[in-house]
Amino acid sequence: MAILTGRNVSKRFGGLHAIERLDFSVEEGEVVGLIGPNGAGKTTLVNVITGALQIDGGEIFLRDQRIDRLPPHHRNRLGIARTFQIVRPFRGLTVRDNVLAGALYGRSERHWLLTRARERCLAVLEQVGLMAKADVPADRLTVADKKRVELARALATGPEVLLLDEVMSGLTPTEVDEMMSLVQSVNRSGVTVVLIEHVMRAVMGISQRIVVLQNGRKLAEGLPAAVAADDAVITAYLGRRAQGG
Amino acid sequence: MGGRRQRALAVAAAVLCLALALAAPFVVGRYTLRFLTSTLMFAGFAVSWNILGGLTGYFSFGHSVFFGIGAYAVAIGMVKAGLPFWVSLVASGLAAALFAVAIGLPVLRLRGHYFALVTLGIGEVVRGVVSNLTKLTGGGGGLSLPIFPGGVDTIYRAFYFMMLGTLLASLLVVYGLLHSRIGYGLVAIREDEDAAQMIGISTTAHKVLAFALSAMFFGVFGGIYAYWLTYIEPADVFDIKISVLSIIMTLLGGLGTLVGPLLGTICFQLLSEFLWNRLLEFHTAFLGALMIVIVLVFPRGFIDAARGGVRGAFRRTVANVRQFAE
Repeated sequence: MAILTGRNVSKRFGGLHAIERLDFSVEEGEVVGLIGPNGAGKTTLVNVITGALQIDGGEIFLRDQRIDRLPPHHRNRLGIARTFQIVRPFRGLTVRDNVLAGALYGRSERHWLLTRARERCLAVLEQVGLMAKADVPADRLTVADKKRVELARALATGPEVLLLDEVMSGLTPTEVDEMMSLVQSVNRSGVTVVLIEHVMRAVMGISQRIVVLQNGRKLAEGLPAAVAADDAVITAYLGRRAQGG
Repeated sequence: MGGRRQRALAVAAAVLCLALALAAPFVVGRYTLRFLTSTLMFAGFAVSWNILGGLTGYFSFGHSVFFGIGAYAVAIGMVKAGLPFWVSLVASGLAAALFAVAIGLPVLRLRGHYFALVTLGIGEVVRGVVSNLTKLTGGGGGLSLPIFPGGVDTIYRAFYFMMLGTLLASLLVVYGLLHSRIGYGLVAIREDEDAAQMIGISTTAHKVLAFALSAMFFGVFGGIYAYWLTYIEPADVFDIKISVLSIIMTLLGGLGTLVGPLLGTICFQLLSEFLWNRLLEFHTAFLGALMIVIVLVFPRGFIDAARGGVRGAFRRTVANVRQFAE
């Protein structure tokens, strides 16, 4: 069953069509990789799904509820969470308080009380491996850990769909491996993941399905291996033709 | 956090301060008591301004509006409507809070600097309106209130305890916020408003609530002040200095902390008490210089600065100057 659906979604910035009449659907429980060259409209798509930007046309549904007119906080309460392309943890707060803020809000209204939220916060810290750094202010962390904090904060809100905007970029190969297994474990715990990524190894490695965007339109869609072999994709995205033989 | 021992120390210090504050009016002379009463009021300004400015990160330059509204609510309630003081005082808090909601709903959709500018403008507009509603407010001529019943010492003590009680209430509210869901929401907004929305925080509602709470206390202080002075006029109770001092004292002690604004006010009041009379001519220059020093040496208040010691303060100053130079 589709958990997230877009019909005819359009977003313009002045004369630029960032997203043009895009149809998409995300199945419950899957990891979808969203790739495409710079300016393809990937982050814009995250922004219109989460409500940071309003769409100019079309409809977006979470299950069968239309969400494209709702404010961002409302969409989060329904189960949509995200991370930012350029990391944005709450810099002045400790790792623990970052995650606690997420646990107090989001879909987890039942965590209204601090004690309840603290339990949830600890569970998430454990899950993402940040327990040892719980009392470190977020702005003292490495980029990799800041991305982890953002992921944890989003996770603490109890999302059904998690949109990860380049969580692997700027990481060392080891850190990419760690992040890949973290994303997989999050997915196994029942969260549907939309993964925007430039690190091919990561996105091809853990996505069950890949969607390729170019100039705000869908260029290709399918299994990672099939997409990787698609001529149009190779031309547009990798910028070179596969060598024959 | 902080450990059990530290917490015990904090509680002991709070109890000691409270005991001193309760005993003071029976020990000190009238001049000192008057000074202490206004210090409590200023501390209340800083503590409650901090709810919006420090916790939420929205700098208001117009909080004198709420002070003035509160002062006029009590004056009009007592003089024109013949209500008892306590009823008028409740009305002053409500009026200030409602006015904050009315302007907060449209204006708090703006971010940062725009909000600060609008608050400046609103202060002037309201002062103008009050000055011209002559029938109700007495216009520029002001309003005289009845005198608090009782002997001189009773009056001095009564207003001292009213200010103390309101200050304690504001401290309790901030303490409660810092240890609750809403407080985390406010701090999240200060840290990154877009990210806060993305974790399900309805930012406008939170900001309006913080604004209303903060304004309510200014209103109540204004109401007590009006009865204390027994005479108010627009230029006095809508004075922008009320807003500016609230900001300076909060910055001095530490933005967004519980006791920072309180300590900032005490330092500021002691400084002015000892320096003011000698520096009467340089009054504003002194304020300006103080603001520059705060911003450069300890932009996060001296509680934070004290943790780093002198060397830390020096390093920070250099870093801050560099940052401003860029």
